[in-house]
Amino acid sequence: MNSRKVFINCPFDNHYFPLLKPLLFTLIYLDLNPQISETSDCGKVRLNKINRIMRKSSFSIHDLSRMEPLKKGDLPRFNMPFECGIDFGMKNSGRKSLLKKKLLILEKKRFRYQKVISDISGNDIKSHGNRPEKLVKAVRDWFSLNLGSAFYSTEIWLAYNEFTSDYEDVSRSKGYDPNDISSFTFKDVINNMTTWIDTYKTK
Amino acid sequence: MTPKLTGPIRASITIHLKAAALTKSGRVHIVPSKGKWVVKVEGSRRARSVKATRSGAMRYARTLSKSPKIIVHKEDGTVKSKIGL
Repeated sequence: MNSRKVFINCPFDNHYFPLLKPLLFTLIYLDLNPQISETSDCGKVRLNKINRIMRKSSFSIHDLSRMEPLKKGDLPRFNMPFECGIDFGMKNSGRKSLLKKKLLILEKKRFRYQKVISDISGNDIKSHGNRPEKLVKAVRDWFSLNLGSAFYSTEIWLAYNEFTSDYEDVSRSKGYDPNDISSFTFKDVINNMTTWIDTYKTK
Repeated sequence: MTPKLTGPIRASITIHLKAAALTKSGRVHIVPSKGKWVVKVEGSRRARSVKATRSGAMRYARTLSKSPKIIVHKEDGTVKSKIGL
């Protein structure tokens, strides 16, 4: 397992993108290495890929805030709790190295999980209220506990805002919509954030 | 139509982002945070001031230079408006 790799389990759509961006940014700012399964492969291949990524990551973040229909008439989405369950199973599979894995569960509201997935009680669960700044703080605080000292969440939040402004300018000047999840690959987004943060920190 | 992402475009974006991150142009960001409004000047990693209201933050930002360049952010971090830019 790589001690800087963080597996991210969350929806990959434009509804969640305003939270995914600050999540990725926070991890990179903390010198962590976000891992996302970006693929259009069939279910079996995709699941194998996710398993591989989970096994290699010391940390996982499971955002269960969207395990609900996006609008009335839609069906709830179970991918996130499903992958979360796989990760719990992996952690408790009996292999010593995997037992060290640390899992953070994010939710929209405090204690809502008790009504829908109460088996996870007793684990590290934080709510973000769908607010990017709160998400930054929740993630930063959790890593601060697990990895020791970290940048203050306000510093990360301010840097994220400045990054967003620069990213919007640069993306639009090239003809891309920075708020559309399909404009860039996740690899591009992560590389762009890393470039910007590395440069910003030298100031 | 969104242009196809090619190697040269990727490289160009990287170069522009690096330049943007390095800038010490003195642009002022007004950022909502914890129910207040933070004034942050580019070139520093810390807040310059924290005000209770956005208009208070704007007033303060205008005192920082003769022709201030101000960027006001929304709660999700994206840009709401630009003044003097």
